[in-house]
Amino acid sequence: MELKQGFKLGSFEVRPLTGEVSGADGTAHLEPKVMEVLAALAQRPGDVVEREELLARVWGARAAVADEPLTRCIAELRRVLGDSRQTPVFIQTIPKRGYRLLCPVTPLAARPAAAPAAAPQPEAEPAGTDPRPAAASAARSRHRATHPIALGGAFAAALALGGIALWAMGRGAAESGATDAIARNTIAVLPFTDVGGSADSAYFGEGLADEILNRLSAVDGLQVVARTSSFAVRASTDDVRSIGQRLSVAHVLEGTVRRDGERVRIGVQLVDAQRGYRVWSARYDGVLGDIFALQDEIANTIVAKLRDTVPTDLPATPIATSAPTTNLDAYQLLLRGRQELNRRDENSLRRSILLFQQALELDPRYGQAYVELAKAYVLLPSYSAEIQDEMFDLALATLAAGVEHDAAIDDSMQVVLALVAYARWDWITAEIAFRRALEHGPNDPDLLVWYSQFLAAVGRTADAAEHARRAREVDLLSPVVNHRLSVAEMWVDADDAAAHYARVAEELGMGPTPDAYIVLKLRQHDYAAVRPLLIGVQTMFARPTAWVDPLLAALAHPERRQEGVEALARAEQARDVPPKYLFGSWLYLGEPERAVDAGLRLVNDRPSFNVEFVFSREARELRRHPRFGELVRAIGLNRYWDRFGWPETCRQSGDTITCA
Amino acid sequence: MPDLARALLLATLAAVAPGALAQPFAGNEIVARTADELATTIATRRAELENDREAIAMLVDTLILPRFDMRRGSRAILAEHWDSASQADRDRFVTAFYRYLVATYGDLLLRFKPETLRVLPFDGDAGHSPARVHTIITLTDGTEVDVDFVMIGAERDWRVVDIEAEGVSYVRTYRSQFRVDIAVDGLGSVVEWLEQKAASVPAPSAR
Repeated sequence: MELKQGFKLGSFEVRPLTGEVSGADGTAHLEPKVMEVLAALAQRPGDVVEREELLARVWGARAAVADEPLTRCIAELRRVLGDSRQTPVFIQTIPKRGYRLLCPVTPLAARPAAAPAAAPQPEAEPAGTDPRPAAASAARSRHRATHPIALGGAFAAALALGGIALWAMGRGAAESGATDAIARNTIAVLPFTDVGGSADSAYFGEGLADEILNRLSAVDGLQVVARTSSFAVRASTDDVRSIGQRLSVAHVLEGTVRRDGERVRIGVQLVDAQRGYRVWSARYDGVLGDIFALQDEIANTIVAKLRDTVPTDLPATPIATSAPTTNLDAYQLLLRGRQELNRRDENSLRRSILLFQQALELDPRYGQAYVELAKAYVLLPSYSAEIQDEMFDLALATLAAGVEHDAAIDDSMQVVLALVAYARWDWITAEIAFRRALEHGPNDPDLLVWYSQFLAAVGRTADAAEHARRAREVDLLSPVVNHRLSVAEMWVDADDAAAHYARVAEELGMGPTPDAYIVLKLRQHDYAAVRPLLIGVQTMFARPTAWVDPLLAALAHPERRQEGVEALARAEQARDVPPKYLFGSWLYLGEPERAVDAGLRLVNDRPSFNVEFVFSREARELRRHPRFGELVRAIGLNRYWDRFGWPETCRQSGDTITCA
Repeated sequence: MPDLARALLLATLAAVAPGALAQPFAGNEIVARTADELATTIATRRAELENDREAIAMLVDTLILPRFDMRRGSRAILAEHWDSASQADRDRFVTAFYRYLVATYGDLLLRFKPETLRVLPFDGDAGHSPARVHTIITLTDGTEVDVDFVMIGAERDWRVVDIEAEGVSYVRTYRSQFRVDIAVDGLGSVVEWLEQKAASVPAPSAR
């Protein structure tokens, strides 16, 4: 099917040559990769197109890195088409396989003004349909008010119709409404292209960019976009201006790396993304053994070039990092391991562990490899059935061995210590370690997200939101960061912002966690949305569901509260309710006494006790209850507050602790 | 998540129709072969199984149980409580939990058809344990659910230790539930609860 000139997709008209998608409310412009994905799907409507095929067609050799870029393209297409993953009208996800275009596709005639080269094309529309170009067609279809775009209101329409860049730039940019407010001291480092490399050698280009990014991040006065965002946006487009807009940066660094045995050639260019011209470019030739010095040299040159153009002062102190290892095979194993670690799934984490272990076999004094290995151990229980304490013990033992060999890892290992202490509710140790880690990496989005969670758990919800916002400033395209910001905004009762960032996170590929989803939906009084989740959780594990409807009915209709209380009490007696849902349900039913008891049981399962919830508005009655202190002490927060200061809203009187 | 219970069950006790195997991994073959055998048995003995809980239990004992490492799975669920339990208490828990699963999910076996579940190409490292067998279960309403079998073993001998349906791990979920109860009421209390639950489940035909 010849679709190059355009095709009709439902009520939309798609023009691949110009990147336009026209619908009832106007025209959106797709980025080239996004359009290529749509065009590939449109070639075979109704068929499942395998992910591998799409990746190969659109990204070619780079596709082997990961399929995340494809996921992001699909998310953007859904946004523009007003489609949903759960109830797709246009694009259906076929798990583990690929995607299927659900709508029929009809070729369009060429549009003379927009595509003169195609002017001689014959009329392709079926007889009886309006052959007028897209604008007329869009006007014609405006009556279709039930389309998701129309239903989404002004905000959704803004996003869908040309708002992609605006969306990507986040709330701040959207509110200011201006892209020219981008600070000149901002830069994104894109993954370097491994020229001539095999599909599995992309780790080297990514790792090289990562190292330079880390060096630049340490420069005072320079704002560097985090890895997740800059690597993701590179995968979806090659246009530097577009990248600059999406990431809200004034400068973009891109590069290539070519390896021939031990020889390395690195090409880099610094581009002014706002004005679209090259600020500087250079080529570096060396051997693999020079790689660390080359990274320093490139980073220093970039800072020097930026110093000429950025109004704020950048330090003149040269970046000089000592070579972390003399074994270059170990170094490459570390880069491979990091690439796996960043994928965040069980298989990849296990592979990263093996790679870091191999690196340490080659160089037992390689401090960074100990830290990365410990990080993988700490993350693995979140993605597997591994027992958390066992993995944490391995992580701590790994760090202890690492410090013996390389005392310089003391700073970089703080994040691991903080995570372990936080998960074990050793709040004081965690706070100290987080602070030290932040001194070392103040703009590390992962660290900011984790610290935000920690701060919310110790009752500092405003600080938690602030750190989540900071994380988004440096990593605005990260689904994890957006999800975290959604939760953090929820705890400060910014419900609209919470819903907004939850939606952004979902579009980026991360749906809400069940806990966050329940809280958000109940705040919106959307009980119907919560029911399937609770029923699903129960039936999945063969637990009775008799308490679910009475609970939701009690929340929707206060006069039915007693019915809900009795149903939940019966379910509690029979151990039919997961402990964490029992705790939350008693809070929602306004039974703080029972909630205290449920909470005191739940402290025995720290991984499932979301302590942040204790400081939500849903738990206000709990915090005012005379027995709240029992829960605070069981969690250990009183010791943390003794050390770092009590929240203004909390007071202690004898054994009684209450908070507003 | 409607019908996820069915998905989990089909995952828990059943396993799977033959599918394309991109790379040779014994775990995929084990899951596929078990599915074939299960489908054949159900097709030939449906009437008997629908009326006899013991017959289902026997079927699970002979066909499914050998494919699961219940002891490793139980250890993962009990976590720190496994270490502190006596050998006798561990054995009692393993038996009670197994009987609970059979009683709770057993009748869902009868809904199993060869086309219900397909095995996806293996994408892990067959030389390393644990490894995941990715499958897709199609529910009665046409919804497809991702179900992973986490297997441990080596060479030709692989056994299931965990199942994840749409990212929800049954080991982690039961761990979370039992951890609280064991800490407060003791392991014995949880075992008794499992035994009571298993005993109270009626035969499939009575439900």
